[in-house]
Amino acid sequence: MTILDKKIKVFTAESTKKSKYHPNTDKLSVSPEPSSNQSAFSNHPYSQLKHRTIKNSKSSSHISINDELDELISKTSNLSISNPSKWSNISYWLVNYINPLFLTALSAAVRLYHIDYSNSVVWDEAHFGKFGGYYLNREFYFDVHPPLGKLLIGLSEYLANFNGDFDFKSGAKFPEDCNFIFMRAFNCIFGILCTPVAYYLSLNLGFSNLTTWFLSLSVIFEMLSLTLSKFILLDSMLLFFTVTCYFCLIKLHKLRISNNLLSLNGIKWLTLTGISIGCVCSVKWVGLFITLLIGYYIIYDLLLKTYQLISTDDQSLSNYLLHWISRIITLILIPFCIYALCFKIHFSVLTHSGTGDGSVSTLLQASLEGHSIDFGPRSVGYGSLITMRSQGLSPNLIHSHEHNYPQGSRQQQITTYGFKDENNDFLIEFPFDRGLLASLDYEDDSNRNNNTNNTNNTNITREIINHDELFRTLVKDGDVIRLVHRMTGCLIRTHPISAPIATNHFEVSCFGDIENSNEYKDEWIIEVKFQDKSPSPHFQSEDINEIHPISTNFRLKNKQLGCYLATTGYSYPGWGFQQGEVVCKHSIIAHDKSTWWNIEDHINKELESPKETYIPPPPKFWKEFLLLNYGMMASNNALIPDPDKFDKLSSEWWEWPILHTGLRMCGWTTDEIKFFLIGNPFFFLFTRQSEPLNIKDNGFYLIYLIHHGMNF
Amino acid sequence: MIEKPPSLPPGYKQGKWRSYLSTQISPQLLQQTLITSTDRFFIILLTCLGFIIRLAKLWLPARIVFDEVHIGTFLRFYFRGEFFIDVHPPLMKLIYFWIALLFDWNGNMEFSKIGQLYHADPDHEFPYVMLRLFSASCGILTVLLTYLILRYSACRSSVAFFGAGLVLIENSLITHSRLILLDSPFLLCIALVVFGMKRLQLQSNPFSIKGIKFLVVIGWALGLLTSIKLVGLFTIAWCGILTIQQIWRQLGDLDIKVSTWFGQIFARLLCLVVLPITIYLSIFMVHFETLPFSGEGSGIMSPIFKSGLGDYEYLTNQPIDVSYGSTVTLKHLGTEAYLHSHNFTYWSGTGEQQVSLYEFMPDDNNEWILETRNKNREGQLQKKFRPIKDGDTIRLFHKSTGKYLHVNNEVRPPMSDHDYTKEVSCNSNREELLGNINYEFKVRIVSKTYYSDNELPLRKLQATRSIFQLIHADSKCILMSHPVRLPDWGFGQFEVLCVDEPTIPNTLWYIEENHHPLIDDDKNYARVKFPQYNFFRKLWELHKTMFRINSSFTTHHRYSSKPETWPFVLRGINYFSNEGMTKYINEDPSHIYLLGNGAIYYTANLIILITFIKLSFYMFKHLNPFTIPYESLSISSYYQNSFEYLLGWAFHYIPFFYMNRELFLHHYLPALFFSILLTAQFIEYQLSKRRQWGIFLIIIISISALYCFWSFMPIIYGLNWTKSQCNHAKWLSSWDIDCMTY
Repeated sequence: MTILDKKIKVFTAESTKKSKYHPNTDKLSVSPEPSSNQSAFSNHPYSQLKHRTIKNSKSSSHISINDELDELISKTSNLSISNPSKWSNISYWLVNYINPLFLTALSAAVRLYHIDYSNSVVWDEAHFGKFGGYYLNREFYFDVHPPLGKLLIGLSEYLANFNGDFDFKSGAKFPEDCNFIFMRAFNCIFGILCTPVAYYLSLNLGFSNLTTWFLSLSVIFEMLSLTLSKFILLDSMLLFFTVTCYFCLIKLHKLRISNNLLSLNGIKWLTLTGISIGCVCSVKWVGLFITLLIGYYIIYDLLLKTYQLISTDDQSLSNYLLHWISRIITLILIPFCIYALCFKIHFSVLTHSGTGDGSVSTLLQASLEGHSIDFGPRSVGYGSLITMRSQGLSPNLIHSHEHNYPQGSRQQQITTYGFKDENNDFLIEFPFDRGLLASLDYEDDSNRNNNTNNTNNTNITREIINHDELFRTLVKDGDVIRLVHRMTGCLIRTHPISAPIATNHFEVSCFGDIENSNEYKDEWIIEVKFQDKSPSPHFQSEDINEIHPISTNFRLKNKQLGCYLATTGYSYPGWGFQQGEVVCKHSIIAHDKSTWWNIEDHINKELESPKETYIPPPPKFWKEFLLLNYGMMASNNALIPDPDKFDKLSSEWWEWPILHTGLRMCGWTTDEIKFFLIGNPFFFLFTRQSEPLNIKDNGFYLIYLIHHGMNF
Repeated sequence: MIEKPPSLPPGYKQGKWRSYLSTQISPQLLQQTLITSTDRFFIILLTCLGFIIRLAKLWLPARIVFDEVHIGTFLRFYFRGEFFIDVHPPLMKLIYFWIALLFDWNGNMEFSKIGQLYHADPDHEFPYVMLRLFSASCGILTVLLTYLILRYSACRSSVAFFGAGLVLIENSLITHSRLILLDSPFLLCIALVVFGMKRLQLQSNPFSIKGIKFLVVIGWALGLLTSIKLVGLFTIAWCGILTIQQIWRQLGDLDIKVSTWFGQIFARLLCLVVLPITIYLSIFMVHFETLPFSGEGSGIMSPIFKSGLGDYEYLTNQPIDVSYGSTVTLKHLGTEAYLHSHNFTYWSGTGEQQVSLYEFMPDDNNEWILETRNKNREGQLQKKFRPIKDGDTIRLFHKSTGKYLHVNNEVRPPMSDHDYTKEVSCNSNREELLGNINYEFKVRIVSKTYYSDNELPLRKLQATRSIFQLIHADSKCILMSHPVRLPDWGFGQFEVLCVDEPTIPNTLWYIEENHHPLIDDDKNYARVKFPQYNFFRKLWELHKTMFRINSSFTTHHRYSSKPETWPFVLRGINYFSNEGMTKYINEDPSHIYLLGNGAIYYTANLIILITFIKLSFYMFKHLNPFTIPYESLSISSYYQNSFEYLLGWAFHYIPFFYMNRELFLHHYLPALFFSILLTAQFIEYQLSKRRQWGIFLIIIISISALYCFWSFMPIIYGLNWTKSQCNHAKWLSSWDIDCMTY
């Protein structure tokens, strides 16, 4: 019984504050398991075990099982717990308050030491410092990470009275008036707080004092997290929330063992778990890994409760349902609300136009102050100059440039592009059968007249053209149009050649010129799908059959092939400059948003612009939330490194646990203060058996999780 | 022994501490699986039907059909002993080769294209009927084995006959078993593995003669299977999972002694791992022995591999030291292909002469002369021997076009367009070039091949020994290549480019052939020597090459398809059509189109779905730690068998979703075989539960399957048809059956 003795000793140390102590709540891993079952689970609470045994004993003639168990119970209940003496009282204070305080102080000292040593921008401070600055300037930006971490950095910059002028150029010196020390220290707090959490975590796991100290010291002196918490980065926040998640999981485990999950205390910890999950996932998506771990545990627990409900009398239906409801509310709804709330704040703080304009939907852009959209006349006609934005997974502008597909048709590429550029401009043209050409030249008015003459000359049989018919015909639902790329004069078309990435769809290319093109492959039928209403009373009664910039959502169906112009969310490789793929897709579902488009900029000098300024419909939060998340996913997927290019910053996953490579975090010239990121060999040696959770994204991040302290 | 308490489900026993699932085979099950005279009757009936259905008009079409052209080409290589590389292991090709030899093939037949006549003239005849007969016999045996498998999975005779009948009349299986292809013998081996597994599961005593016998049968079948196609690895995985499940059950069985249990593990390792590997290796040994000479495939092998082939003495007799003025071939270490240039230009970038990697030799366009950076007259460097050392700067002169290799600093390569990549091309000639460092490359020796016996190759350039990088003198980018193919205008050869700060593996080159007139015949200069090439190293290199070739099968084929379309018979493959060919006397229009039997495919799909759902519920029920569900032995046996077949289907189907190469409908055949077994198992279950319903299902499925078989007979057997019948048979618009044939 030596192991059992030991266990109880640990328990004594930890739970003397509890008035009642019952050893049966611990796992009975030391006894020969008297189970008759071949189940895959090993972590049965004792109560269940007992129940099952009794049940079996009814059916079998064997009573020795019960005998042994009774003997065991009598033995363990006879082990008395020494009465709390004054020494244990002191040790209680020491263990629970003084030690952690001391360790936290030590952690703070180690982490804050020389935090101001380098006064230049180090490593990814260049990104995250800048993103924080955008919140102060309230300029819209786009990034692959969710906003919570950057919002906190923005908060630290606000508290540091930063004026938002400095653009955090990599390696640049911080200006005099920029209190970067405060910003770094604020971020460092998350790193420091990992230590007490790890300490209590270890206590809750029932480790001895010595182990707890070892664990805490490991966390304090672990150099990867130490180095990363000295700078304005997301990693220390991510680590902190990950550790709190794990801490909460251990708490939940203890509460589950004692069957207290539905008590007030249980609900409290469930809620805290939910909050931790929400925070960790709102800092970086890699927080999903710890969420998976918790999810696995919760599913296991609920499955067991289901079986209890079915096969035993332990579980009442109402209790069982309460378990489900509490889990759904605390572990799904709360994290989701936190995640969505971060985006809500993100959208409401960033009200000015900024660097991220190009990759968000038209409505959101139009709602930003200082946006660059040309509203133009309210109805689109033939001859209009437009830019067109997809509503699919990569909500970017359709784009073409003078580069050809290297395979397939080898015609000029059509892509989607996240930045504004004159290669996004397209002209709407009559279908070939109409025999009219309305393309206007917006550079020069006199050219336009020439254009009219030219069209007259090129086709003598054509009837005398009514100026209005030529230049003022509006595009209606069901009309056929051709789209001419203004810079290169080619037409968007598709053909039965498979697209480069999504090979089960047709390739879309830009080919030919307006004078000589007579193929139906470059003619597209407009299908109006939905119209957003402007809040302004002047624009309430717009014709639903016409195409209105910004507010009309439509699909474009190829006249010959019957497929729809669509985006796939994939990016072209190097030859397509990582821009988004455009395909022609046979889409059955009319609500398939990847085939939906809307017009963003609209210029047409022939048509009349409205007298009142157009007030665009307000963006819908949930739609923007979804689109932004899709956009983040798409740009995450586009970050695939070229295997042929040597990147001195990146490393392989297997190198991380064995400290095979480190990382130079800044320039390496002689007069610079240098930081080198490498783990602590001592601790890595000891935790080699454990599983560090390694995450590689956008270069190199290494997160060392404490949660496998169990192996000590 | 304790008496079994009544509350325990059948198959469970009560031990001292716990109840357990016994691995003893119940007498009831043994009784069910006894082969009776009814079974013998059915087997004979199936054999007769098999002869009729699988052998009918086997000699038609008397022309090369689909992949027979590849197999035939390889057979010819075997005949001449010329080394070749194929993505499939050699067993089936060897067997076909031996059959052809047995029937007096004279090796003259050239397999140039689909539709070529097998007996055009007496001198070029090929005993194709015998080869097809072998394939068809495998098909018939598969049908018989299917019957036995189903009988041994406790199906009644009629259901086993039904299942075997489905295999017998399944259109795509018939089509494949009639042709000289790999799939029919492959399926036979799979059937043999399943048969062995079934018999093994019926052995109570694992160490009985019978138990060992069936282990050995499985081992053999696995070995042969993987030696036909590497897809056999999925079958091995399937076998492995089932073995682990069995071992796990035995571990829980208190009647089995620990020593017996370890003995089991040992026996299984021996039979299911060691035996197949031995068979696999020996077949490759035979393969190497049969191909002693160089051939089409020797280009992409390393020089040491080539030195083991018959007619490569010149590799071992050439001088080892590389001098200025030497004519060399430069090989890319990663892909083992030659640096190549030819008289065609890029369609992008500068539009200058293409530089690429080429996999075949000998070819004049692979030859380069290493020159100094000075202006050189023709033949001047060949008069003096001057070795090239590490760090020297050289120029590469392309011998057959008379141009120099160079890097365009401002232009990006056609496929990998990045700001750190540069196009590599050939231009200029001896007269024009004056001190332009864009044409100069610094030689940086990085390492040496493992068989070099001294350190010299690290200091001076030595053929087949020094491994080096070529650094562009002007921009310091490094010459490299990677397995990215140029478009059609570049003939699908690999792109060569120059990259700033590249990763190392793709930048390494070595010199394979080395000639300099002064020292070529002067034996005072050291010669290239190779040590004996170990069999395992040889095999390893061959496999690396096979995998490289396999993954580079990415160019779009007209009839390739995606795995997700296979179970739904969305489109077939045009195997053969004699439309527009000069017909011999009495030849009918003939068209062979691989198409699945719609009824069987869709029934199987439905049953896969139902079984999956049923198994999920079954799993859920059995995970319950508090009770043991009470169920009869036949139910347990049904679920166990269904699980095995469903797993087999998944293992032979799902991995294809993760393959990047071009895939074809016939890759689905092994999975189809498992899904037919699953269908029969499902029917058996229905019969035992609801007899009427089961009989109804059998009738419906049989009739519709027969109808599908009957309707498409002409495109299975290549029989005559009419245009209207053909057009009528296009049930789906995507079935591009070539009706112009008729």
